[in-house]
Amino acid sequence: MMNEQAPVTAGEPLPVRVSWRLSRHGRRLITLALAGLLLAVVTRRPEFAGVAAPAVLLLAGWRRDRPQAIGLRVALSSASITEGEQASVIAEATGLAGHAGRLRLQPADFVTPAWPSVAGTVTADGTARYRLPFRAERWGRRPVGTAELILTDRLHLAEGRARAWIPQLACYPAPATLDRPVVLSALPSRLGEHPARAAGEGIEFAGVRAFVPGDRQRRVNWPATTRRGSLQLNTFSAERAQNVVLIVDASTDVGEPGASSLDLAVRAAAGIARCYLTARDRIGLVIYGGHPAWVSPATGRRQFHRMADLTLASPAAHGRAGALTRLPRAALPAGALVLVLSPLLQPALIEALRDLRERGCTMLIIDVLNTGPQRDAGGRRPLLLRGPGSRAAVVSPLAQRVWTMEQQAIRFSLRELGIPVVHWDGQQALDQPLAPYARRVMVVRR
Amino acid sequence: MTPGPAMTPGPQPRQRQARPAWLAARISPGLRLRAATSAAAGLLAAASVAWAAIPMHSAGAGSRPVLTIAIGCAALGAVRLAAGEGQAGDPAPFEPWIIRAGREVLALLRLVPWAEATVVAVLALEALHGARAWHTGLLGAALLAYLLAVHLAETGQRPASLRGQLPLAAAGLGLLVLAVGSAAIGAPAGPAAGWFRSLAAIAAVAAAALAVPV
Repeated sequence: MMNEQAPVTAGEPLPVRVSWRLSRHGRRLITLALAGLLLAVVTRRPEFAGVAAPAVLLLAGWRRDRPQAIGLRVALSSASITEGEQASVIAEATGLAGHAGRLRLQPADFVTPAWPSVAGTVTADGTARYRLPFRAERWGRRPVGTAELILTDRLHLAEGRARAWIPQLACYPAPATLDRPVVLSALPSRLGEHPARAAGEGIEFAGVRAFVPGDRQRRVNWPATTRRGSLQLNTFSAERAQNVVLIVDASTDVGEPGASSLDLAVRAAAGIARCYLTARDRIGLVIYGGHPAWVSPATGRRQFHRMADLTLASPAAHGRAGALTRLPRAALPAGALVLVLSPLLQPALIEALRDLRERGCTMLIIDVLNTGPQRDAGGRRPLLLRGPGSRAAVVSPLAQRVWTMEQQAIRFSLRELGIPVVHWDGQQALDQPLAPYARRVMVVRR
Repeated sequence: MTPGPAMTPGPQPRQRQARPAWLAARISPGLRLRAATSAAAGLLAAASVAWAAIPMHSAGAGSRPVLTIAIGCAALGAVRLAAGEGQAGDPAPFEPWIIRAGREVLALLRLVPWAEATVVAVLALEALHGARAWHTGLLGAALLAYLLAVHLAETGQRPASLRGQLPLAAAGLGLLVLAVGSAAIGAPAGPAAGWFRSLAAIAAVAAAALAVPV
């Protein structure tokens, strides 16, 4: 079975129909030939027929034995990449019958090919291979576009086109930079890398105390023993891991595509997850959207991919979302640090956060709202907030002021409840807004 | 001890000045080739229009509008080649009107076959002059070169890709020389002229048949 646009993937090349038509070069030669011959007849001047002669001879090389179908196999060099990284469309074509071909990518949104088209290399068995690099500019499970193989005959008179869909690409968000994590003062008794307040078997020096029978002799602090006249012992802090839960607000997405609030939220979530997993903490993810989805806290590299897959599988769902308090205990364990990534535009989420705080949850909100009522091109009229693809509307300056004050009031009320709110613009490292809380342990208040 | 002749530093070979890094990074070889072929196409179009126009005083009635059309088509064709084959993306919501208008103009520019219009206008301008066989012959060669240059500029291919067309183009140029020669000798009215006209008509029909896409 032959297809006009076949969803060709890996495996054996599939037959794809080639649609042939006159090339632009052929059309121009025909114009020259016709104009020359017409003028020769009308003006009775043979030199115009001579002008038409080269074009007529070139057109005489028109071939009729063109392949009506070719074998085409299209694949991606990598099924998953990170935002801003490069991958390649790899195509193999058979049955070209000596025709030269160029591979062109008709890109989908947020996909930028490195070159408009590439020529292929023909192997000894007549298979032509093409490799066209492209860059994915925005995270998401997205189509790459359509691969178009353009065939031309020896004289460039006819042009044949064969199209094939390219498999979807999983593009993970580019992680924001975070080197120093926020650590709680009270950590669950689980072995980790953060020094806790309790004494334990770690390597962080905590203090000196009197020797008690049964203590290890190698921990005797001899200078202190000499000073005090009795045996003194070094004590060390216990090293614990903490539970972290990220709540990504997918219920609202405002701002320019590529730098919208959801884009910033998932990039921040990726950066935070990477940082905590490097410190061997347990981290989980809750996507707050139309239907909350979650990954329970766990550790390890596989957890990062589990979280990234959940992010890609949960598209932005505008509207009222389910309550966070209905999440199972495994998704939101007690004593976990909850980091919320949200533009704080959804009243239901704000209510849910207040509710969680009142239940004793330790939270920190990273505000990713980077747009607001904007001015129009003339700088006079402010414009409403808009989501990707929506149209702008004009609001009055008074409405703009009311909106700004309302946003300030929301953040103030959250701070009053003991929920710190920091703002991240998506450009700087996450370390900068989180510095006040990462510099020392974050005190847990019940 | 004085150093021997082998130890004395000889004249240093002149160092070739390196291309600035920013320039090397921005101008890729493909872009350079495309720019060169586009410039060649523009120059050939300008030369063809000028060659067909001179001398203007000997041209017949209506030569000025035809010349204007030819100049306009050649200029817009050059602009279209310089603009390239950009993808028509969706306009951004807050795009200024000037960028929006530029996008529309560019789309219109890509829609019209400027090279074909230039060829027709230049040949019409030449026909408005009196018979001058050698002049028309050179114009025909220039127009063929112009079309090949436009093809190279559009596809971004190297001139070597036209190697397959070379024998046929050379044969065609030979026929052009023969036609110019026969015109220069002079063709009195008679059966030969009639035969020639018949042959030209048959060739025109054959060219039109080739134009129908299969």
